[in-house]
Amino acid sequence: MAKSACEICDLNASAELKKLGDISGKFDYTIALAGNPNTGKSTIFNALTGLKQHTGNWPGKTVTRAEGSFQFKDSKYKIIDLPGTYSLMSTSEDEEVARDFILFGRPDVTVVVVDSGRLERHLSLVVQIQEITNKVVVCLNLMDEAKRHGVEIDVRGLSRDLGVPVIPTSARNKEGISDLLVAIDQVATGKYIPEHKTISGISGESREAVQMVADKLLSIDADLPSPSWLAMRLIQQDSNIQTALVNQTLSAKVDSENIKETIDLANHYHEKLGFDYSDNVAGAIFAQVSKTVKSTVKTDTNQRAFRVDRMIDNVVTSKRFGFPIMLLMLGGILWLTIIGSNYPSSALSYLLLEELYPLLKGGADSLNFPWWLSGFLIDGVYLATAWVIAVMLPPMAIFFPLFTLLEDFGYLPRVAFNLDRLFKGAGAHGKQALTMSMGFGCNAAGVVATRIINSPREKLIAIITNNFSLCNGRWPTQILMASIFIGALVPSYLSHTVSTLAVVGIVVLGIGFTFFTSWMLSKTMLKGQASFFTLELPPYRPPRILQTIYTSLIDRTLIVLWRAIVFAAPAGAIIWLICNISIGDKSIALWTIHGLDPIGLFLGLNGVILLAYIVAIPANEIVIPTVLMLTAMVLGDASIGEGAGVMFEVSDGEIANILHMAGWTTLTGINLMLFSLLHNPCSTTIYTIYKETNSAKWTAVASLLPILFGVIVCFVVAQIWYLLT
Amino acid sequence: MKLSNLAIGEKAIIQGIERGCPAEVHQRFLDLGFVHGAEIHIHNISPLKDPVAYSIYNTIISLRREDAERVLVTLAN
Ligand SMILES: Nc1nc2c(ncn2[C@@H]2O[C@H](COP(=O)(O)OP(=O)(O)OP(=O)(O)O)[C@@H](O)[C@H]2O)c(=O)[nH]1
Ligand SMILES: [Mg+2]
Repeated sequence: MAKSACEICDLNASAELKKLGDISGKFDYTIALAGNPNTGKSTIFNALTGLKQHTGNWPGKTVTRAEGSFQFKDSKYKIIDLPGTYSLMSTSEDEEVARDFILFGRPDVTVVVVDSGRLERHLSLVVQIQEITNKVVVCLNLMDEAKRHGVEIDVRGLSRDLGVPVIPTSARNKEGISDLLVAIDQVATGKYIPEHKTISGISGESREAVQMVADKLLSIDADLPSPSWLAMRLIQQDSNIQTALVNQTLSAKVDSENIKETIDLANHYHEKLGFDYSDNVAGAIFAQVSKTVKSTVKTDTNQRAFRVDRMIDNVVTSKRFGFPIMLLMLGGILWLTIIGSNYPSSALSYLLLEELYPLLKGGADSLNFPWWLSGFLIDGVYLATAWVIAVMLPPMAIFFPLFTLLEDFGYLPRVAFNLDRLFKGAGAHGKQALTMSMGFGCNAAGVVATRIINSPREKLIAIITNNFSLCNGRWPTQILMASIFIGALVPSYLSHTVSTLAVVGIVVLGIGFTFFTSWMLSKTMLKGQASFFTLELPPYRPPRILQTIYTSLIDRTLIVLWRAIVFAAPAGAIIWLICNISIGDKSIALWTIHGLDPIGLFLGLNGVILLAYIVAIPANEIVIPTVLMLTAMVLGDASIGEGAGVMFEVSDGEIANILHMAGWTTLTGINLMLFSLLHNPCSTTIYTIYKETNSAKWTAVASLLPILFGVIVCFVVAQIWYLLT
Repeated sequence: MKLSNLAIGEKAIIQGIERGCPAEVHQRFLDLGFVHGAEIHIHNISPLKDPVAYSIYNTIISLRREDAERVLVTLAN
């Protein structure tokens, strides 16, 4: 194929970029991507490696480090996407990941990604990193936004001042990536050696203290890297650095014996100078940065873009509209999801169940499959999978892009801002609003996101309550029950609206349980005060609609769908087996259902629902298919189902008929909605909770507490219902 | 005066962080640019009055009331 002149031009460095994804192997150089939160590190990482790290317009999107690789010219690079960090001096969990890698991982190049429109704060991290290593490249990202905000930067002047390459980029538009590659290459291969800089302007006694401690360190090992930074950390009693020195991680010449005197000296200064010391160091850093910015950046603070942000905030966080708008957004997303998934869902089930299923059955017959084999494979595995695709794919394909648009716009942090007062009242962390929002997509993802919460107590509360965010896998149950049992109570032109309101009601109830449980835990098992918390509100960023739809379809929807299928297939097999293996005169499924029926009725549910929840522990997605299949079997009516353990295709109306025939009432529908909100997390989430908490006790609490609530709530509702009817 | 007493529309200059608050909190304030001499004003107030979002160094940082009480400021003319 012919290439355009630009593509073969020597100056087009990206022609020499080969994205290698995450394949491993030998690497010539290691690159770290560091920077304040929300500056576009993951976006750059994706552009270089071709991988698909999640990005989002709120601080704390990335909480663990991700690795990828690419080839440029003759060298292979490993690149690490680090969580955002405000400084190298704090000690929070996600920030430590970044700091430790820069210090102990000794990357060949550290690319510091900064927000070009906010250099006064962002450059302070650059200055700190330069204290550790000279191999720094500064990436001035978000240039498009800075321009829009009327910020003009003298890039060359900035580069001269900092003594390192400075590359302007707009990562989201893939602008400047090739220049960035060239700079990385030059620093990695040593063709360009950036200046070694240290923080200047620390005053009087504090500077003396750093000097004394650094000298002591150098007297033990003259080759120790970045001694003055180590000295600064020792004076601030950073226990990680103390341990690293004692354990010889930083230098073989340093050991617990000879370092003792240095640590004592640092402690002495710590006592003597106290907070003055930290104030002094930070003051010096910001003063140095301010000077640089003053000489290289021109800002027009009266720009329209600033005022627009202000105006939007004045509405979406206002006393009058703040809460109504949140509810409207929630309702709007749900409404679009319910309306929008109606048609494709029935189209899919027509295709997969009414068309493809008989074909497969016929094919198996003509190949002379024994009945049990075709039953097991087609009636069990295939049908369960087909059901999950038909039920799950359309709502997800609508929900995820909508949610991502809102996320990219920058609305999520505003939700946290609005709700913080309530979380504080419940003794919880304000960022729990963010992890709660992530839970609406997937609870396992919500649990991982709790790493942005620094206080262990509040992190646990966020983990335990995440299951009260109605995850995507439970939406189909809610939507179906709401349309069959609640939407049907009103005239048909109102039914979509009313069923949407019912689902919104369940979601809001879940949020209520989040607050209540948080409050309860912080009064009992997890006693304590709400801790210090700051939240940066990012600028609003007009989302790129088409790109967002594309990536959230490909990355999120398909991945989540794949997970659902992986669980649905074996579940289908199990359902078929328990329906077709008999003990005495009844199948295992029937025995269990009849056994569970009394408990079910007591809770306003039934045996089928309870058995479905046991089968569906691996994935909430398969609850509805299982319920329908088991109901058909219990009814034993050959004209409805295809036979024992076969899931059939039916429209909403027919499903309603069958459920009514099986004795379901409005109470059963309502209580199934409640139970779907209040029951144990799926097995993936349970496993994630265990990994995050490392504690069987808290995993058990997080798994059992929701069931306890579910049983109580369903019982109370059922009793009231029986009283009234 | 304390940052928590600042009114909408007023500009203030940060004097420092109150002594006696925990070291991590003190450090986090410094990391975010709450250093001596920085200019600060209110960006907006949340629906339930607490927290308040402040504009400092061109970034917007939200603080709960009890935390804003730890920041000492003087009014800029
Ligand atoms: N306008 C514009 N937006 C960008 C640019 N680069 C990234 N973004 C957007 O900025 C937001 C943050 O990007 P991320 O890549 O998630 O940032 P990050 O630095 O990895 O953030 P954390 O993981 O939270 O530290 C996303 O919404 C991106 O789409 C850019 O050059 N221009
Ligand atoms: Mg990231």
